[in-house]
Amino acid sequence: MLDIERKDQFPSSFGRLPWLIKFPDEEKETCTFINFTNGSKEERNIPEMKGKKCFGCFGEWVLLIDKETRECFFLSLVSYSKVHLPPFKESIVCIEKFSLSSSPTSPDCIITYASFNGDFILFCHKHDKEWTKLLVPYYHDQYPHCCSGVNVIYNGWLLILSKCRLAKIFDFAALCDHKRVEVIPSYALDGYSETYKMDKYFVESCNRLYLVIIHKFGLGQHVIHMEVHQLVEPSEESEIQDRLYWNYVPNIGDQAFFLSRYNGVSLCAKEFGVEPNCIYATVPCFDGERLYKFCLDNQTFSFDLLLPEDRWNFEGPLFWAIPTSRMQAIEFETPLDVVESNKDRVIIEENQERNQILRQWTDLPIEMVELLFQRLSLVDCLRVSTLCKAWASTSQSVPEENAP
Amino acid sequence: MARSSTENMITLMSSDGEEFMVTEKVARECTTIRNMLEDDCVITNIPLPNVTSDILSMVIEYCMEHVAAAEKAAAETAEKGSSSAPAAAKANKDLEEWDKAFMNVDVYTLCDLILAANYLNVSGLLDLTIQTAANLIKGKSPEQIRKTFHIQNDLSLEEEEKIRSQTPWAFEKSE
Repeated sequence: MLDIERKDQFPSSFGRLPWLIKFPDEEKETCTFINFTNGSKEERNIPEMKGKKCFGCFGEWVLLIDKETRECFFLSLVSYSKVHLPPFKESIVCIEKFSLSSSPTSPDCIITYASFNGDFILFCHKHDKEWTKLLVPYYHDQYPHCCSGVNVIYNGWLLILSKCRLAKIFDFAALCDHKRVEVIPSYALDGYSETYKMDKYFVESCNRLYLVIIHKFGLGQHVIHMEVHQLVEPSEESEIQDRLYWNYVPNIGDQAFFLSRYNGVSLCAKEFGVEPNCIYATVPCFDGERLYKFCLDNQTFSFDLLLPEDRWNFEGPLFWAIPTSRMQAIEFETPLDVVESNKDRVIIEENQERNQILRQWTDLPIEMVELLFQRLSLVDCLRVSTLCKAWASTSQSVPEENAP
Repeated sequence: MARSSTENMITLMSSDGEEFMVTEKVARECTTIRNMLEDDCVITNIPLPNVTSDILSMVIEYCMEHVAAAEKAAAETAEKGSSSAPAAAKANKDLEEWDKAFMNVDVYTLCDLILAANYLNVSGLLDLTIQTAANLIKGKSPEQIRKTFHIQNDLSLEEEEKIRSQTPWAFEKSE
């Protein structure tokens, strides 16, 4: 039940706009509500949040964990009702990544958590006594410390992002049954430039799953590019039937994506009076917390410095709060006008584009190929010699000491 | 050697015209640039027509990290008179971890980094990138290696067969 007095606590246009919220942290006890359209801030004191740390905002629901007792619950920012979860016993490192399968009010809502650098996930239903821990096979790639832990349940799959490959996809039900599960084959974005620093977000929109990649550059971690990919199941006619793939999407139609630390929400832009076909993302930068707006129509950026005092703040990030009454409306929206481009073509185009500026491995100067061959065993050297003409001629000079 | 308190800054310009300001110390990590500076000590703006801005920023990042690590180690040695072995080992391990994370790139970027490391003569980075490429090859079949590095096979079937037939044991499936 909505308490009239408490309703006054919120800024007047709360619920009509996506609001950015900075939750209480060590330095201050109040919640800061930020109107992103004009940058105005309002401070509110919400007693339920005292001593708790916020781990994400899902519509109107805030996930809170008590720093000492580890009590874990969702708090509604509209009605102040709570949905209790089992206590969260794992250590809280820095930014934890939780994800929900549906709204906390739905009876079959599953909450998942993927460890930041481990190889396990925790999940629970609302009324479970404790979290269930599952080891995730093949989570580690070659670089175990490069897992990111961003996860989502979509279409019965559990997707976990690692930095090296784009996403590992598992059959979630099979994983829960402790069956031996294989990674569901999916294409990484081949021929695609993996710059050193990237943030990735899952966004569900109109029953489709999107992956938004924010490229960052240099020491100041300036955002230089954003791109959107959609997870596509191969159709009967398509040539590639054995795996899922990510399809580059040039625009997101009348939707707008709102990204805050590891969570993404899609909204119908018209309904909220924001610009369509845009991505709004909060990014911690060297000079404070910035709000970037990326317009997909003309591929341009703009940003506002929202919290200049919060330099590199990873502890108390900003979250988008969007009350559910509004969220339901978007489920009836027509699906996005997605350009169903052929995946192979996309790859070829991207490769061609890259080839103009990048050299191929086969064009490496002979001195460097020799350096490479010196590090290989004889068997590997012999195998490499059948790759192409350039390498075949180089491998004639395999040093003897490489013999097994 | 007497030095003014403000360190000399050098501007490196990438092939696509982007300018990077770095301290002289960082720039000196690149032997090619060090040689230029020693030949002509007043030079402050160095065009690098063979390196694009995204690759140059990575090379600079690598150099900065390694300069910082070296400075930290030197400072600790100076403080304690002699370096403590466990602390030095830990610092080494941290740097190795950093290198490993730094090498989390796609094969195109890796190829460009090898070329840039060679051109700028950053021996540590060249070593690291070549070793990373070698690790990607180890234990893979020719087909898998081609796929990893996106290499087009330009050998005819006969040519390939001829190479394989010289050492057939190298191409048996190792399960």
